[in-house]
Amino acid sequence: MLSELRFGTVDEAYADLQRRTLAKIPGNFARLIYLASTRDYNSARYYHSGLADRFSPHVAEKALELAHRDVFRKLETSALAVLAEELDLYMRSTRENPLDFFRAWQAVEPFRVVVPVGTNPTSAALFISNVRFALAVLRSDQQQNFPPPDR
Amino acid sequence: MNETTVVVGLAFLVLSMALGLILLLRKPTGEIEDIENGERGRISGSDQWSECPQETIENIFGSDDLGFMRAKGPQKLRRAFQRDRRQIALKWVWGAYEETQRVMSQHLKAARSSADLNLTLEVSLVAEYLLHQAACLILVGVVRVAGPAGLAGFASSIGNLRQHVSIVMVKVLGSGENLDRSPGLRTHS
Repeated sequence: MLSELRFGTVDEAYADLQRRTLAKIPGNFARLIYLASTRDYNSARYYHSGLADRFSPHVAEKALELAHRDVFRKLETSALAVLAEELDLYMRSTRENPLDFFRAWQAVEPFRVVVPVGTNPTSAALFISNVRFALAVLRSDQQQNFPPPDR
Repeated sequence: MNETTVVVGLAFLVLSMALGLILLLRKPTGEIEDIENGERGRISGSDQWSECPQETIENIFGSDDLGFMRAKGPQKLRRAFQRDRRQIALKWVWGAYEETQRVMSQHLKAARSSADLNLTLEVSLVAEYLLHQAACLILVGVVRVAGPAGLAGFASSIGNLRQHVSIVMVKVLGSGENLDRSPGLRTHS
């Protein structure tokens, strides 16, 4: 409580995170990947050095967790068409070869680890299923528009 | 097919339609919305699941995503999508069914040891509970046969019914001082 008064509230940290970091990331899918990457795999705790310095590690952690949940909720409640657009935007922002991207994402399924802790199992299942189908549709579009050269 | 089978089938159909109409016509009251708003808060990192958002339920049981797949995906992918959505929809309905059953079972255990039961409220609670469970079973049947697309209204009405069960349970808990306070029913599980 005292530390929150001294270093600012979670809402202030959340607004700071939005303004300084998330606003510069194109699209909600990229934001989701970024926020999930601030979470430790082993402890499921969030960490961001700049935010922790400006506020406190505890306040920064809470702000990151809230932001992660908010972005996830935006995507999990989106229609499949919107999610596919977001995923396409993210794929382009990585500057990876699209076919390599689809191959890797369909094989490794990194989107499984971006679900926040405590998400309702139905919501998580729908999100994972939607990303799978969005990937399949985008890959199919890509192959139709830019077929791989004959070997 | 003999006459008895036809009569039983028709009776079941009429009963299902009547139940469906009751569910669709029921609207949440202000009291329900207040409780729902009170329950919705930001969830801290606990082991408890958050509730399934209404928009998610609408997506599972809506037809927009299926329309998108019809327009963009090859036939094999469309079939896989329909199969996947059916599984997710069934997972949600069974989740709602089991969660309500669990809470009701806890409540009945507490009610058995209670000295001052309010019979009217208990009967009302059992009626709401049975209606909810019957609606879940009907939805399971329909989803298995026809898939979840186009059933968003029915699925939402199950969410409303869960709120009704929750409200009656809160009233029962308020009236019986000796009843153990059960954790209550979350909406849209």
